[in-house]
Amino acid sequence: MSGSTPSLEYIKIRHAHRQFITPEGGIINALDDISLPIAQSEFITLLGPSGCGKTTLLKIVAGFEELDSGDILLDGQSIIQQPAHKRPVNTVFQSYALFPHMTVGDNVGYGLDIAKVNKVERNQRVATALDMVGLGGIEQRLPSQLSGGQQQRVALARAIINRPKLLLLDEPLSALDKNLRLQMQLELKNLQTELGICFIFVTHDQEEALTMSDRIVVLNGGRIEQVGTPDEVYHSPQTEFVATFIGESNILSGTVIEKSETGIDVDCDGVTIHSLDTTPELGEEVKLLLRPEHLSLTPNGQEGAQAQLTMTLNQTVFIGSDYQLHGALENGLAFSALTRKTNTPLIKDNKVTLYYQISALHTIPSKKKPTKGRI
Amino acid sequence: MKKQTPLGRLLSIYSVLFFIFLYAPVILIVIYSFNSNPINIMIWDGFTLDWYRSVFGLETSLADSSSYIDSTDQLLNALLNSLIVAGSATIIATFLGTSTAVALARYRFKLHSFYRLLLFVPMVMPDIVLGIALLIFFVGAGFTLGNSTIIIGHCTFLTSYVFIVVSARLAGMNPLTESASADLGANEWQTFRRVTLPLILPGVIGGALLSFIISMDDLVITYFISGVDSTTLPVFILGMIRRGIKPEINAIATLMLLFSVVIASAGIYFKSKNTSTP
Repeated sequence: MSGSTPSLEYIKIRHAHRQFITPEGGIINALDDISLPIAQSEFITLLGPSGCGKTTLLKIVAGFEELDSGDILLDGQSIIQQPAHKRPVNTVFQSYALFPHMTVGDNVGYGLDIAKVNKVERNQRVATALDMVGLGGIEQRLPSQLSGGQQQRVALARAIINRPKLLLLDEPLSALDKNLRLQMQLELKNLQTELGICFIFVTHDQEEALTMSDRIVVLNGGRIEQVGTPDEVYHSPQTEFVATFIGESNILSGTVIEKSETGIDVDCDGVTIHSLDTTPELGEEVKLLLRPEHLSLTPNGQEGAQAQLTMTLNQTVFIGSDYQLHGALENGLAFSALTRKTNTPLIKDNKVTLYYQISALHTIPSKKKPTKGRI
Repeated sequence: MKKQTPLGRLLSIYSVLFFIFLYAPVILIVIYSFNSNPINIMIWDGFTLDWYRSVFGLETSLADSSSYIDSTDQLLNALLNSLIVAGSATIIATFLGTSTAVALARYRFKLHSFYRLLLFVPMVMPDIVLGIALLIFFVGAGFTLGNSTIIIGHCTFLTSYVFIVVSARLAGMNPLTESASADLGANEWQTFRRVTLPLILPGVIGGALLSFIISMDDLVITYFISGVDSTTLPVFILGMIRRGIKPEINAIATLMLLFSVVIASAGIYFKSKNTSTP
């Protein structure tokens, strides 16, 4: 499998199943038939709420948990029979898990010491790894003398020094404050590009996922909801879960009441929305996604058909660059918009008109009901 | 200084009285070990080091009748026995207690909490019951009573002490550091030696020192299971007191006290050392 060109299926997770039994005797499907190919130098993020199975999957790849059934191939070889210490995989743990009794240098050099690399090479590689994470020359300090951000970097240096084929990161940034987190996001992405190895990053923070990933795997209840680039999962979510979990969203559900060559009319409890999507059939239930940032208080001059909605204002939140408007549509549906301030007075209980490009509407495919007429 | 309320003052007085109650008898023993009165040990008659000299078999100005020690050799022999027993039992109990603590902390298996309970039982079992039980067992199993039976007997309860001290240390340790070690290529033994053991070492040393002191000090259980040639120091002292209380006993007690304080201080030092884990 390994060739000169980076393999697109370097890591293959095949029909991974893992169940847990709760103390009450119930069964939880932590992983429910997960299949996923991962490319050789890809930054892939497992995103989902807590309990979605993302950490379980990471632990299974690392070797700290076992699969009930399924397989994981790394460069064509099944690794699930190998114990954790024999896998060419390294992990950055959520709590860093540095060895408190060892200096930074010994922490970072641990993998090399175990592999019995000679002292000269070992010291040189430790220095290089620390330089890579921006912490050159602190070999002699103890982890307890470092800040959270520095400990994080040491954990990172320790994990990359063995030159793993795959680096696993278990919510490594969750303990850092916001500014440091943003900085580390960029650094992680740069480091991944520099090393050219695959990073599997686990997070529940959708912004983090959107910022860094080549691809995002959205997990929910042990199943894959969607796999795609950040752009795809944000703009073309395949399920309602993905639409609501990633970014702010307005979901309009209704029935198709008119269908023509140019689009459909959807009746959402009395509010009629026109969509350019012609795939749904007459009478079908559909869900339409409209992101708050696609709404504005003024009809702007861009090309493309525009439409409008009337919302009764309930709350206005100033967030710096924009205003968040929260309120309800005529049919009572809670709705929100993110828009520049205009001359329109933003007073509670006032009615405001919101404009949007019809092309901004995205139809979430309905999976539950296979529609008639579709092959 | 902060002004004290009447209740606060009462509490201070109570604390002082409490410590006097606790330590006065011990301090008196130390003081009277230097008392030169050979007849009534509680009446101060001047300073002397004769009792200590007598313990170590040195020449004294004392009359023979006022001294217990017919032969310092016997005393030293008892001390040597005690050191052999305490040393061996400590090594064995530390090994068993530590490995049991690691096993119970890191692995889940059948009857897990039952094993944990079993390890607490020897600590709460009355010494006399354990002593009799061990005696019946050793005699029944055909052991000759001696140092080896005392060592085995001591291990039965010392293992529990080590287990508890090491378990507390393990509970305060981040188990992910062991995962991190495995992740970096270390097998279970390398992980234990390089990560787990150094992190629990203060607990292991603390447990060992505690075991040593308890073993040195144990009278009741040892009394049942010691043989003719295996008299330990506490058993020997009990035998001495049977022949009447003489001032020399103060000197022996003071020496033992000094020894215990040194060991206990070392224990506290190791226990408090690098407890800070990031």
